[in-house]
Amino acid sequence: MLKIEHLTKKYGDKIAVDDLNLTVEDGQICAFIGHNGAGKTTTLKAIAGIMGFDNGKISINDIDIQHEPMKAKMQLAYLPDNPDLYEHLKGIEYLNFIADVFGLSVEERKKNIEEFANRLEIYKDLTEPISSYSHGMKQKIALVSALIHKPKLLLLDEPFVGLDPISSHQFKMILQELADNGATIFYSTHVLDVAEKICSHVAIIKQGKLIVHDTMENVKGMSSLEDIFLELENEEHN
Amino acid sequence: MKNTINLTKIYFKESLSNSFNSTNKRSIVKNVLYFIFLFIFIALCLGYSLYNMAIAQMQLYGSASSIILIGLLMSTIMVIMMTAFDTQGYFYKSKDYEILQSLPIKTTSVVTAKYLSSYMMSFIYNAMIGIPTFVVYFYFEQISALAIVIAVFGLILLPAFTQLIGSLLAWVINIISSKMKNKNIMRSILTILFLILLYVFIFSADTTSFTDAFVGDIPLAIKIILPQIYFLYNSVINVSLLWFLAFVGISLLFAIISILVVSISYKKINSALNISIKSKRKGKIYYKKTTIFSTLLKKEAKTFVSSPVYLMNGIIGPILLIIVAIVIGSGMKGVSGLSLNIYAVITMSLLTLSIGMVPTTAVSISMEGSKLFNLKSLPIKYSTIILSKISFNLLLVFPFLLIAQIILWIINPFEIGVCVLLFFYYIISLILYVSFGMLMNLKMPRLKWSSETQAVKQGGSMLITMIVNLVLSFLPMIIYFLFSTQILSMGIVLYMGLMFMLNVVLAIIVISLLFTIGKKLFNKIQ
Repeated sequence: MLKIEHLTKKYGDKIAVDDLNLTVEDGQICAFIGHNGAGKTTTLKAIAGIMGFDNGKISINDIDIQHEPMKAKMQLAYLPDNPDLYEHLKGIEYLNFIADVFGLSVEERKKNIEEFANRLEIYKDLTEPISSYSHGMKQKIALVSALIHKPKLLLLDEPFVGLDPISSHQFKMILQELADNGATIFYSTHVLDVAEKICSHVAIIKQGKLIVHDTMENVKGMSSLEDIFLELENEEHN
Repeated sequence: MKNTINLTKIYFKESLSNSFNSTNKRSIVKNVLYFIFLFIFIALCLGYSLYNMAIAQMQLYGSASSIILIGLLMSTIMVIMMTAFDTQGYFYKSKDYEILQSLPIKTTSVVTAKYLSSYMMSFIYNAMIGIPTFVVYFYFEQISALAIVIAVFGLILLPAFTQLIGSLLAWVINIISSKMKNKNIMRSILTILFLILLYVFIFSADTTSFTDAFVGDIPLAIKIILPQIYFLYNSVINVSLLWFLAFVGISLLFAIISILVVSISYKKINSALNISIKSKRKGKIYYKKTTIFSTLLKKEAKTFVSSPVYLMNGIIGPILLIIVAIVIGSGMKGVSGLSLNIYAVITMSLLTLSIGMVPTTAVSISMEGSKLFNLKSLPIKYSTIILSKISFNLLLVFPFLLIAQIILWIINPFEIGVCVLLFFYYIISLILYVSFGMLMNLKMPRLKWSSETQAVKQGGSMLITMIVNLVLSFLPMIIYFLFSTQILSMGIVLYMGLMFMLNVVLAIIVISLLFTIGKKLFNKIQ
């Protein structure tokens, strides 16, 4: 479970995230949407323990990210919007590195790498250096590295960018399976129709403030998520 | 022209805000002032040495004119050694290559903007020696407004020669590498090869040239190989516009040649360098459990050898260690008594200078780029990350230090006790410099860069680390020459012991800061 209480993050005088309160329960896939600069990536980075914040509390399965960062990070995986990987390592070297970080046994990592790398069709390229990978292949390696320890909380920033249709479909299935097994998935995106299909919940952020957070059904009703989002944006403008 | 100016402005602005790790104006000003203070400090130290040299010349020959020649030679050689191999990072394999190629901008405009960006770094190093050189000269000789104007323009245009050498080397290395299968490795191998050749050329130069220069007889080699210096020297001492025009002409010619040479195959080379050929032979997938520390160490090593600029930056010091050991060692043959003490102090300074010249730790956080956020999101302890970076630097330098020490042990006539003391002095200096570099990079990380050269060479952390390490290296020599009588009465071994203790204390302070303030700085990086 992800619990954010009164999160505030400032960049100088600018308030990037303003008193944000949000809870995503186990088994939920929550889409996190908002216009550019709304504070999505800042929030994700704060949850992942990458950046500090000025006020508030973030806990992952009741573990405070600020007070027990190592313990909290063991529970999560973060996939940035444009994962910058160690180009000089081979795919398998990078995955072994991540497996070492999470203390996975040889058997465990073998099982998970084989499973996810095969499903995302990157397995046969694992012995190549990452520098020789295409953008999509790098995204796949980043996804496998995020899944390798079967995290309790998965933080994703535009995870479908660069994926081919088959891998994209497979990844959606993987997300659903993880959620069914009790993982919490918090997923930032601009692709609203994909979010609509795979997410059980949605949170909309605008100028650092959370303006909507509910189940997908309750938010969109009979219309589409895109219509609701545009409606909310227009309301604010008017 | 407009594109060149705009692009140059962008590079300069990027360099300024990223080198000093901030977008906040007040913070940039604070860091810039910090850098200026160190720049002035080092320039004053050099100026003091040149001042003493000039007094000696005035007494012997009634003129301090050759101080200009000595200063300009020193500065040119130093800049060639420090920056010639970095130029390739600006032109080739830069991150903005594809985006710039997709825009309607002429190749020469892009190359010119990149040329000016790299020129700025050469200028800073040149100015560090060039400014005190001219100040000392004008102190002893009569000043005229024209001579000052010539000196100012001289300093501005002086890097054109080192830029020419850098551009030609970059072009040759990258055109060969671009035709090879393992391009990155080839770039690194060729760069090291050319570096060794260049260093051998510089160190094998006839040292009597310097002696000749003192008596005002300019060696033919300088006139032919370094005409730019010869023209500037003549234009300043004779306050001659004609010589100055010749200097401006040849400097501009060097700049034009540099830009044209790089522009010729710029697109072809960069396109080829960006293509990765996959091996037909598939390797074996393995699942191996190792410690996080060893994986991080391996990652550091791979990053180091795969980036020619990073490699060059970090390998210069270790290679110099060997060269300095051979040069000093051979100079010490048959030396005894007081001269031996001086040799011991010079050895201390020059070897530690080589050790601390460019620690990899001063840029290793910057080299992570946005990958640092991946590391930060993982449950890896701060101490593990930092120790892996420090350990890599120690492991890189230590074998070279050991070889240098063995060379000195074989050649030199020091007592075994002195040798052991010196060896421990080098070890503690290495730990101090490497830790200080790490601390500086945490204070001023440069995570946003479009070429590795910007991360490695344009970071404020690298400049400050180099300057501080330079001062610390020369400290034993400076103190010795200032208080030689007292030191000789206390004994050279005791003096060395005190210097060793000083470095131990400094190392303890820096390491403590690294694990307290450093951790806070690391957490703040965003």
